[in-house]
Amino acid sequence: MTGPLERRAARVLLVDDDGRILLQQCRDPSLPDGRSWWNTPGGGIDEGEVPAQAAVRELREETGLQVHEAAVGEVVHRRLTEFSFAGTAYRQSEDYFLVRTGAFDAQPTAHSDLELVAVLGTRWWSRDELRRTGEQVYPEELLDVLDRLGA
Amino acid sequence: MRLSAKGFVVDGAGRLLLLDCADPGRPGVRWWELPGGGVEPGEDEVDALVREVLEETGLVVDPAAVGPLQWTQESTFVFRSVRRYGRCHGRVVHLPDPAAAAAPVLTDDEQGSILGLRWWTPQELAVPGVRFFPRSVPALLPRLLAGQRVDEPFDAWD
Repeated sequence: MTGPLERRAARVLLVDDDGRILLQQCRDPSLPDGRSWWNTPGGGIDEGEVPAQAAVRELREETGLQVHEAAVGEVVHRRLTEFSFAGTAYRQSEDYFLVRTGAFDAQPTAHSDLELVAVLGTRWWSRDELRRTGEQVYPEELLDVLDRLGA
Repeated sequence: MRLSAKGFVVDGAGRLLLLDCADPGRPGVRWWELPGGGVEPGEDEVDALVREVLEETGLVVDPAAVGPLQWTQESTFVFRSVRRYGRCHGRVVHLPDPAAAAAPVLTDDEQGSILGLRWWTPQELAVPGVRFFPRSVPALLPRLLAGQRVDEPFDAWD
């Protein structure tokens, strides 16, 4: 028996000039219950990439926003998470970067086949909406991280 | 009054290139601006536009792809805590398959001010509440693409 697949990911806390954060709504196409959740843009780090490069690439692919590598700065949050997606168990270490931007209406630009069925949409969330929502948001500690960053 | 050569750079999918801008003198204020910038003394406006787009975005523009002068506007705004007055001359640039050949080379004034870029679909431009420079970008684009000449009145942008 093998353990979960080890994966390294880079994720972006994308915050606009009103302090809202961009989250994408996701679902697991292998689950019949239609359950969905919200998470930050980001994804797996490709071979030969450093985390900041992966963050820049994922941000471009998922939101169309192209930033310079310098703009993503240092890792502002790290965590280890275990989850199952599309029938595979993962143990994922995640590096989070903070990127500030002007608000825009985000339409995904370059999704893979899997993302096309797994990502339902994106929208900007105010801090109040995050506090009040009954929906599942990842990372669970998102509000605390944003508060700590003063973002 | 400083003259800026500005580009309405449109890709093959009809999306408009805009720069993600900030003012270090006013933390938290953000807007989306046409690429382009100051014309140097003796410099041709089209050459200035090609040079500025390369510096700001790394995108190489063939001067032959730059259209005629179609948009003019004078405006005032505050940047880095200094009141500025400028005149903009805008041209449409068709860039069917944009690929950045080089990393942007930002001037001292642009460092910390141009933070990224994004290609906007017409639908995205139409969503209200976004701050553009010039503010008329969403309304201007279809008129310019239809070949119209638009001379706008003076604008106190801030």
